[in-house]
Amino acid sequence: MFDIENIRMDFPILNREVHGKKLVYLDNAATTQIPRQVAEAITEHYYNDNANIHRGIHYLSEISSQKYEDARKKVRNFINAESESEIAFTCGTTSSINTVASGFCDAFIQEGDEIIVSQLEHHSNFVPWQNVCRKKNAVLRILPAENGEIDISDFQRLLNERTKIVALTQVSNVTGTVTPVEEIIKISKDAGVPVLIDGAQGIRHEKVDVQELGCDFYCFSGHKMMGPTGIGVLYAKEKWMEQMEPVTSGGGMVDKVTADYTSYNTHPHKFESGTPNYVGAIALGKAIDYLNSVGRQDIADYEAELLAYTEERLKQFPELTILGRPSGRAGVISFSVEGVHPYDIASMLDKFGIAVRSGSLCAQPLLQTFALDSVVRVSPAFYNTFAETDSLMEALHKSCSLLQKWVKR
Amino acid sequence: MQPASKMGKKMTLKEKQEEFINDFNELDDWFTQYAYLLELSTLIDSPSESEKNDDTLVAGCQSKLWVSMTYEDGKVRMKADSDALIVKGIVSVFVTLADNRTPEEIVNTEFDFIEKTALKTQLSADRFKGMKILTKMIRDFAADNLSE
Repeated sequence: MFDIENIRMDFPILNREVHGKKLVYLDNAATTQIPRQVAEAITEHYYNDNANIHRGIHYLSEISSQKYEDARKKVRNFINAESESEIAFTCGTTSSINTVASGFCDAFIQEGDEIIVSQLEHHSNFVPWQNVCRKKNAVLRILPAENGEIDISDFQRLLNERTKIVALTQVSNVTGTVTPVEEIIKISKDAGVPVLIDGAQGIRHEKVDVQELGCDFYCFSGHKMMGPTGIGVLYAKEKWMEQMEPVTSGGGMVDKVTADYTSYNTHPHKFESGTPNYVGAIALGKAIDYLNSVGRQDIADYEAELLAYTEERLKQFPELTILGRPSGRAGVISFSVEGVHPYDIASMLDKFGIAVRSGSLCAQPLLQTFALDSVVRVSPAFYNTFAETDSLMEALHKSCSLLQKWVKR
Repeated sequence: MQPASKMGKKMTLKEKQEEFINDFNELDDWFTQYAYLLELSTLIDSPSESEKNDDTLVAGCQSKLWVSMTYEDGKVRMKADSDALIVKGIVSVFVTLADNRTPEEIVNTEFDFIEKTALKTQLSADRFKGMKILTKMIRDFAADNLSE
């Protein structure tokens, strides 16, 4: 097991105070903090090696380009893709999903075709497909998730000869449900239907092997795995990289341009128009190095223990309901407290220095199935401690006592 | 601007706002600030259930917020309610200031108590924007009812 105190020292922000109280940062599903090593990589690049990439031929341009492509190699190894040409850098998961929603669907979706998403989806893996269906007169099928759990037989009922793509989250950002991606991919593969996996939450909680998974697309963001914001990854199997049209066009993704005609660069570069966030990509590579150095399995084991402890403590809280009863949960727990609004809870916890999320969590369709508009979400990471969970519970007791007194007035 | 006993109706809207700003800024900690707002929220009128509808629902809030405004006997009358206590507390300041005031007084007063108190840090940029929208709603309503 790793040394939590040493790890916390890598994250200076964890030592700061908020409202005069020690910060307890439990909003990692929204964004994770970056270690010094990643921050230093950004500064170091700007101070010593910065130049635009794949454009100039001068020394700094070569160094910068090489570091960018090294980062691509690191991502490839991180998710065990077959080739770097299957790894495109994007702005984040949302951008990656939209690239497929446009690039794949423009080519392959016709009127009357069907797209399957699940009820668990974040808006970023729901709205793009809804838009495709609206534009193409296709049908959006929503795989139910009663109590936050997907039933494979429901999926088998929905899948049919008109299904053209399945888009599924690996881990729900609301209930923490670890979805049965392997089974769904196998069934879809047997039916010849490609699958996109939203790995925004999943990427940090377990070792991801896209070849073993067999998914056609995998999308994730740097800032949810100790990397910076503004960088993400679209993994797509070679054949889809070849067949998809780019969504944005301009410099960097072209081969020849004349007054009448433009041909594209090879993939993955054809999906990287304009100056990419190359510093972000380099920093993402550093985040990968960092996670590997801490130990992917150690991280997963620790986070699982911490989340289980948090769930246990929350279950003991009177009038508190945890959302969903999935058989496997990772990364997040969302809850509601009888008679107390999540905004009020989160506002009060904030005054104790505790950062949680409240609201619809960008998952309104899922919350609607629980007949809720908003919830409170706690999402610890491997730099959080069991003592911080205890602090959360103490503050939750104090906050709800006060608020419940006022509700009764 | 203490609840009930000190709410002098003879004070102008500007004076009342100034009193609130001074009183609120004297409160040392967030706990007392919240208690102040929550106490204030018990003193304002809430819309009835039938008055809580799409017309009175203020869009863009994480919680539900209903604000109803009417013009009666030369005065703007205002009621508000929210399912989040703290939101209701903050909106109660608007109600306490603007309710039973003439449209002229409302239009001629800048509602700046959020910027001038710790409430600014309570509200995120999004919520702050929501309060700006509410301010505009109140001023627009008053402007629509200015006497000729």
